[in-house]
Amino acid sequence: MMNEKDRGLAIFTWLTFIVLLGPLVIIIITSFGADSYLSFPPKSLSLHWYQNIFETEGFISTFKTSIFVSLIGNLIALIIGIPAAYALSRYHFKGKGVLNALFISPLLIPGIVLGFTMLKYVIVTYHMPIYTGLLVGHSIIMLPFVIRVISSSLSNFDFSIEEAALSLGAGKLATFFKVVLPNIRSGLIAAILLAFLESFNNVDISIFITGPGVSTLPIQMLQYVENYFDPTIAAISVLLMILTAALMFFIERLMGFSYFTKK
Amino acid sequence: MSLLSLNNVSVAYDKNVILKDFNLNVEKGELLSLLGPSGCGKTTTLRLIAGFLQASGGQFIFDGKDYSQVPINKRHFGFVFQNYALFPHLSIFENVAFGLRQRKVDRKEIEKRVKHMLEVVSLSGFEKRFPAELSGGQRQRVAIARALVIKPDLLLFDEPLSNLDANLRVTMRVEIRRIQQELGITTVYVSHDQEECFSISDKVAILNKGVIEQLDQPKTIYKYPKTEFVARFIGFNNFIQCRQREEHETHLTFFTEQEKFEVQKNAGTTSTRALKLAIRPDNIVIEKCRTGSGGTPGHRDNTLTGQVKISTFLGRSYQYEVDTSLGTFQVNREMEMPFSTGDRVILIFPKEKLVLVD
Repeated sequence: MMNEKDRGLAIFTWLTFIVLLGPLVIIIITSFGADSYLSFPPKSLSLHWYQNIFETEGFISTFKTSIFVSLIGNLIALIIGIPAAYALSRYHFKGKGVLNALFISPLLIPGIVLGFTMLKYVIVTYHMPIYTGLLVGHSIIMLPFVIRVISSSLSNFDFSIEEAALSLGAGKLATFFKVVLPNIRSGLIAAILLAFLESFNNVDISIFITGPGVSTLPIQMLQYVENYFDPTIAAISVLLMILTAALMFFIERLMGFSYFTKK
Repeated sequence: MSLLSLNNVSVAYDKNVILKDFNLNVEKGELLSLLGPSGCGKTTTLRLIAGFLQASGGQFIFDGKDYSQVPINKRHFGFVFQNYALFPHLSIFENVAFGLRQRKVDRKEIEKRVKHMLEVVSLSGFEKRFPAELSGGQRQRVAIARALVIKPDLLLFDEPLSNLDANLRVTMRVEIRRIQQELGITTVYVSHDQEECFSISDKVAILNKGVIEQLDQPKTIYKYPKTEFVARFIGFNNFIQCRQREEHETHLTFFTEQEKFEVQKNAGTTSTRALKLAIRPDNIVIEKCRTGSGGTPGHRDNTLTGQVKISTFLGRSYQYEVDTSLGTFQVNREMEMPFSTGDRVILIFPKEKLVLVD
């Protein structure tokens, strides 16, 4: 039997769920509405707005841009971040604390400041192409995630394993790829995912850097909402939710979420 | 010429000098142990030989070649770690095969050699398991197999048994010795456990603060420690500081303020300057003081009178702390009628049991 206290807790839990998930449910339902404005509950149902996504100019192309920027930016962040995280975990040297703080700083600086700075002092001054600017900006915001997650992964890593590989004849590079990387795989995947989501959803930096002809999906959505109030945005949101859920499902199938919690 | 020589090697971390002008020679085929308390530099020496750290000075000669600048992965030495350091993401077979794969050994050959090595360490049938599924002793045997399968020129052990329980330690050290002798592989073994070192080594080097105090066969060290540090380390808990010495044909005579000690010449009395005598608690004879007859007992050579301060039952024997004019002595004795605190006793120091230490 449930006593009063447990019942109170159960109600609280459900309320939390409703607050968290309720808006998502409302968006899913409104995305199927036939009206040309957002209404809940919809009077009649239609798939028209889903069709509209693909017919409206910009959504597909900015989606591609977003994916491109997030993936390539991710790669750049990894190429810089993994060696940085490795060095910060493996070695003791002067200025380590400063360097650590520096790598984490993009998390602490408001995105708007970073975006504005990029625009004024990099894009405008050096006439950097928009694509390049996007890649640079997104790499910068992804870097702290990569370094943080991989560092914590490496803090559990027993470096004598690395010495073992070296003593068995593996070179430094081979040791890194055959012994270090496989053992921080879970951290690596977590870092990639977190960084990807951070970049894919980013508005504050992208909004300063994007310009005529090149935009990312969140910026495109923002501009669309400024002009139209129809359920197209709800429909896109639903598709993005499905995409994310599919990604999560895929990862869960591949290695299980327990992979992220155990070391 | 020795297979391995460290000549005047120095190592320092920041400003901490660990080794200074350190010298060591290891002969081909022998198992040499580095023994000492923590911080004595034994692990540093081993890691230096392995190439995990660089000397700031001196020379490391191996097989006639200067190895000082040879990178770790080109040294072809096997290293067995205290915490095993197996690759957690690889099966036992792949763990052992790792070194062979780096050497691009032919696949069939790898299979053959890994299988054989797992037999040597009695782990046949474990090929497909992962390190996490094995017990500590099994993991250590995998680590040994992994180091041996590459047929290393030198095998290095860093306290390999210290994470195992007592029984397993004894079994494993016999195993290590058997394998080492079977393959005739030159080995440097680091431990802080005396019994372990003495039981498996051809030679033992006792280290203290980055200096080798004594390097000898285990039996020699056990019987004839050369320095006070070594003597203390292996259980010579009693020391007599003398002021003068006289040399005779078969024996030496030492004088303190009032007492006289005769010491038979043996391998432990070769030092020509030393004035300190050492003896194990087991070797001092303890007798009841007969005050009545025979005059004052303190006037006989090699004896001291004293009073029992503490009497401890150790199971096999009693241990006494005896206060004398030359300080407190520790004496172990099996006897039916033990002494009690406050008893007057005579301590007799047999002349063949005393050794001379620096």
